[in-house]
Amino acid sequence: MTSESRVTYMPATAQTSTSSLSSNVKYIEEALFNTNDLKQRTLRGPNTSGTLLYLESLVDPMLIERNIIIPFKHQEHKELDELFTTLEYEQQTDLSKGVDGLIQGSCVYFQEGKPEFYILAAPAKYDRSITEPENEGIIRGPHNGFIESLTVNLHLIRKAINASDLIVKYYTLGSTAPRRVALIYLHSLAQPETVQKVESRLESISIDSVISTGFLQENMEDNPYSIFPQHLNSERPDHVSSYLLTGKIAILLEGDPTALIVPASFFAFYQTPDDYNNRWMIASFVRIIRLISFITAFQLPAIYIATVSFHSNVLPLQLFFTVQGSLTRVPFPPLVEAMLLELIFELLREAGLRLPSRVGQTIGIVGGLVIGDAIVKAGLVSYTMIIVVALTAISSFLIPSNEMSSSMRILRFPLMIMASMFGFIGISFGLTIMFIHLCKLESFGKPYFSPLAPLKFKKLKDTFVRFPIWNLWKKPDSPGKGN
Amino acid sequence: MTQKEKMISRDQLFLFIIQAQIGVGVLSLPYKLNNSAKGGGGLSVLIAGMTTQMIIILMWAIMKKFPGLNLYTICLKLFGKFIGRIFIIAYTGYFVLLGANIMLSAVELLHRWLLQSTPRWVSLALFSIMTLYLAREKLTVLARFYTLATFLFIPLILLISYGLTQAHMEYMFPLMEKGIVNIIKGARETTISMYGFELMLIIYPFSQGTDKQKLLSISLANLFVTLFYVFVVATCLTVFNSEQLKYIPEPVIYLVKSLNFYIVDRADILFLPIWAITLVCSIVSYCYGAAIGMSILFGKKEHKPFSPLVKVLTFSIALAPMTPAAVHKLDKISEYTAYLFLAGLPLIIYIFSLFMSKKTGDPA
Amino acid sequence: MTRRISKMLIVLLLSACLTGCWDREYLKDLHLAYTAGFDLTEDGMIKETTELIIPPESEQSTTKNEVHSSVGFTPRSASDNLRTKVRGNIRFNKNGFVIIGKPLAQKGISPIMDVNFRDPSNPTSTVRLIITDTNSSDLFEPKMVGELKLGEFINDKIKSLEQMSVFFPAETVDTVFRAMMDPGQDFAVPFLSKEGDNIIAKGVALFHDEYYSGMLDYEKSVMLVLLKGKKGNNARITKRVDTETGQKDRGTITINVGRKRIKRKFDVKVNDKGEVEVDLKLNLQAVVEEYTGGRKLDEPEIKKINQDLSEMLTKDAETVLHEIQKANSDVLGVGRKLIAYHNKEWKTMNWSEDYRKVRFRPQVEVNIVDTGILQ
Repeated sequence: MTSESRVTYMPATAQTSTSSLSSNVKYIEEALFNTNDLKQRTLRGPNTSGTLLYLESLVDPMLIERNIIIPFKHQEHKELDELFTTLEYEQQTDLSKGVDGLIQGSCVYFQEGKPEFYILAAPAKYDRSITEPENEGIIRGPHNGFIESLTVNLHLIRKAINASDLIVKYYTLGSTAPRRVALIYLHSLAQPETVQKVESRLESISIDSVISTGFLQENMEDNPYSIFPQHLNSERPDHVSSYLLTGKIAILLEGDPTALIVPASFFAFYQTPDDYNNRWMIASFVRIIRLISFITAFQLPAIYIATVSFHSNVLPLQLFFTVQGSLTRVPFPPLVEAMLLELIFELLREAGLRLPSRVGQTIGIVGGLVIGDAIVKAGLVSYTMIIVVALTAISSFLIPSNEMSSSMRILRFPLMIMASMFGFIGISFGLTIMFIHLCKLESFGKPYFSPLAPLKFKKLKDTFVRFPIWNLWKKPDSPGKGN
Repeated sequence: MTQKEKMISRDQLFLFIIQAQIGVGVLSLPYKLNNSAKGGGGLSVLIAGMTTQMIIILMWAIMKKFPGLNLYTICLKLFGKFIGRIFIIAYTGYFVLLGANIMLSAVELLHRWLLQSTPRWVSLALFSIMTLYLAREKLTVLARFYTLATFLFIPLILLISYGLTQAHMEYMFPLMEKGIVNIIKGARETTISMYGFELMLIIYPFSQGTDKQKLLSISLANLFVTLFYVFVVATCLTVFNSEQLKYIPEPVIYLVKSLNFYIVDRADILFLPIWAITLVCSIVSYCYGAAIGMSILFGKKEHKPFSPLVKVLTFSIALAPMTPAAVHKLDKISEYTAYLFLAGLPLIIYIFSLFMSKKTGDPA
Repeated sequence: MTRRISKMLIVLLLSACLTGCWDREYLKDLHLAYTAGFDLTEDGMIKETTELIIPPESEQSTTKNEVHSSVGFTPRSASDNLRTKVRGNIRFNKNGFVIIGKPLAQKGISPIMDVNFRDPSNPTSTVRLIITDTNSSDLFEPKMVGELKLGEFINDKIKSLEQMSVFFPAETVDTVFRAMMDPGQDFAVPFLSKEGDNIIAKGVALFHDEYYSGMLDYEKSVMLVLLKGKKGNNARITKRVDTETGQKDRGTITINVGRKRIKRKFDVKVNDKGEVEVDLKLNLQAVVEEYTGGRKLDEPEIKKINQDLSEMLTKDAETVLHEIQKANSDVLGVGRKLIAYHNKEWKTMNWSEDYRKVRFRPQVEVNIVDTGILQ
């Protein structure tokens, strides 16, 4: 509890302990509402005796035994201060601090006849092992990932970046269920203004509890009404550290394997660590493919709708007949047709997401084969529309970031409506609004759509393509004018 | 939500001027020039470019005299509160009028080519929403979007230059068929399609760089626009013969219409939506200028609350003319006001500023 | 305040949504006219015959076609009358051919073409103009040629003949519009005719201004294309060079001049007397594709054949030029050159009259550069 730079939640009002052991214990019991996992053990030594309190669900019995009980039994007229061998150790007279300590996995030792008591850390660690995150797999590169323990996660980052100016700042958020949040950045690379902005926003968060990083994210965004995600997230230490090394700031939450990375730019959501593991030509090719997916992921259905309901002139003759042939029996206007199919697709996706993988396959078969084929045979939807929607779906999965991919999926609906109202003009209207929005969006004071707007030619070398690494800049985000 | 204006860079100034300048005018420019200058259309454009350059230098001279001030604050400083405000109102009105005119021409164009039966107020509303969304923003955001929109010139230029495959050089000859007088007359008409550079009066103090660098950026922008226009005019004059051009008011689109590629048969249907986006930039520039004028007029720091007002004004002005004759009239009105506000008033301001500085003995 | 306004705008937009979408025209509702023929009826009206493409009933089957015709004052009014006859909405969005009967073409084609130029939904660069010997409606009967629909058949035919340099460069509505408006340029379009059940490409129809004024047969069409300095992939000319044998299939040579570059010199001059003189020099590089002369094509032999062919082709060129002059069709664009480079003289001329007085001096030179894999 000592290293927090600031406590943002409201602690229980200070309550000084008394010299009566039983009243102290009683206070604690009442403060914890007589929870059943609060255990006590009376320890008697030659000089002193007292009571050890702990929450059995949070402490490690081995640690208590080794560091508290055994030294206590073998005490040879030592002072209590020197007796306990726990790593963290604190003498207190404020009982509310004792309660805090208990719920964070410490033991509390009350002495008979003395008001001072001791908070002794013996937290249990039931962490899962460090495995590669499932949804962020890469082909080449380190295969470790964050877990639900902040300390371990910080360890992984520190291991990846052995630099003395890597700064970790702890914050505690949440008034009901406080949690630790760590802010990590490289002092020499991160821009002070950005760091300041992140800090002030973290400090201004006042919520009951932080369940996941999503809570932090929504509380810190520049523009919460924007459809675009403004925080990158990753469960990969290598990914996070590579961003740290470009001067970005990472935010980690205790109990959450996801790290938030700010400030994020639009194109960062289209990049993966694999881009740098592959050779540059292949990486560039992949990036161009992804760029195409950016266009198809949300524009293709709109373009198709606009074409078949407004501008069938643009189709060359043969294509014209092919498309017309597949459309003749469809009773709906293209917009309804597209919406229907998109809806089916979204249903299948959402259903498949929550189901165990074996059942998920069944969903795939039902969706792909049964519905896909039947819906055309029934004459509800045309083949061309199925191709369009399938292409769109595939392209939306090409986006490495799940959040961005969801945004893109939602974005295509307004665009489809515009397309069905005004044709290509409607699409260009929608795109204009979208790009204006992207231009005005800022992530922690940094332009979101950089390096395209504002345009920085040098940075484009690592945006749409990836030039050889020796050809890239030295410090990608070196402090400079950015408007 | 601070409205502190960040400076725009020199590149952004360059692109800003380009985007403000290139508007609807160029699409019908070859038609107009064919009527006056025929084969000498290219020369007309060059002359117009030089004329614009002269006006740019004049405006630059004004701006240089008052560092850190824009057109409106200069007016206030020069002419005092009352007359200065009249000037501000005049210029704001001019920007509103031009914004409305460009928007109307754009919508007319779209209606002729793509959306024949869509009511005009709908497409005007579309444009208004798009432009309002951008015109409310800070100058830096405008500049960012203009940079993006500049990329659209690449497909546009490619499409137009594809028309060169059908070009017959002989259509342009003889260059001087109509004589110098008509070529200069053509130049006058071209100048009208070149306006937009006067927005330098507003954004000049918000851009980085020394006076000389800024002049260079603006002049380069003007050069680019002039060359672009020469290219477009020359292409159209070589693809269509002059008899034919008399019947085609928008030869650029007519040219693009005849192009087909493997997957796209009618390139004009792609060309117009793309062009519409670049038009947004022109309209926004004027609305931004007008909103800034209003904010200074009312002594407010932000232009944001005034943008919707400007937009409503432009929308209603653009909605007013119903017949082609009325549209043409609005066109003519804005043309003549443009002469006044492009050359007339800046000249007055400049002369006045000379006079003022002599009197006070302060070179400002 | 701005938020409220944006809300209002959204409401406005939504109401726009509800009122409907004005220019929408669903692809599946369109009925495409692929080929349109125009004729003059006896009482001076326009008769329009169109081939409609009917989309298939199911995915796998192919499209079908129907032929309908109607009468009106103009093409557009005839089309409107046609709409009363057929199912669905006829569209000329993907129109491939405008076929005009010779009787109508003689009276001028600009009223027929106007709608093609004016309506933005009509294509121009892919539509080919065709003239038929008799009324164009004759061509539409029967509506299928073998397995192919009429339009497809004409399309294949025209395209392949374009590659054989009979009609080249392709005259589309676009180029016809250009030439029609141009005082110094005329045009020639494919000329089809019906013989029995067969549709035959007879050559090219020559136009003066907007009026049909004559035609050139198949072989002369190739010559005309060459005189323009253009060529398709192939441009074959067959001549008898060896007249020693009496047999007709002996002693002929077929050369292809479309494989190599054509050098052309086209000089338009006005002499002191105000007469227009045109020097036209063609240098053709030929590939021998067939030679039945029975002699080895060695150097002296080639030299001789070159000379013979040059003479023959020069004579052909003279005939072609004479014929287009007779038809008063300035296909080569002599007038355009005059406008561009001799503008003063041009202004004093009456080109419809003076074109016939132009003195052409053609000179064709053939150079055999390749004799195939035999010598």
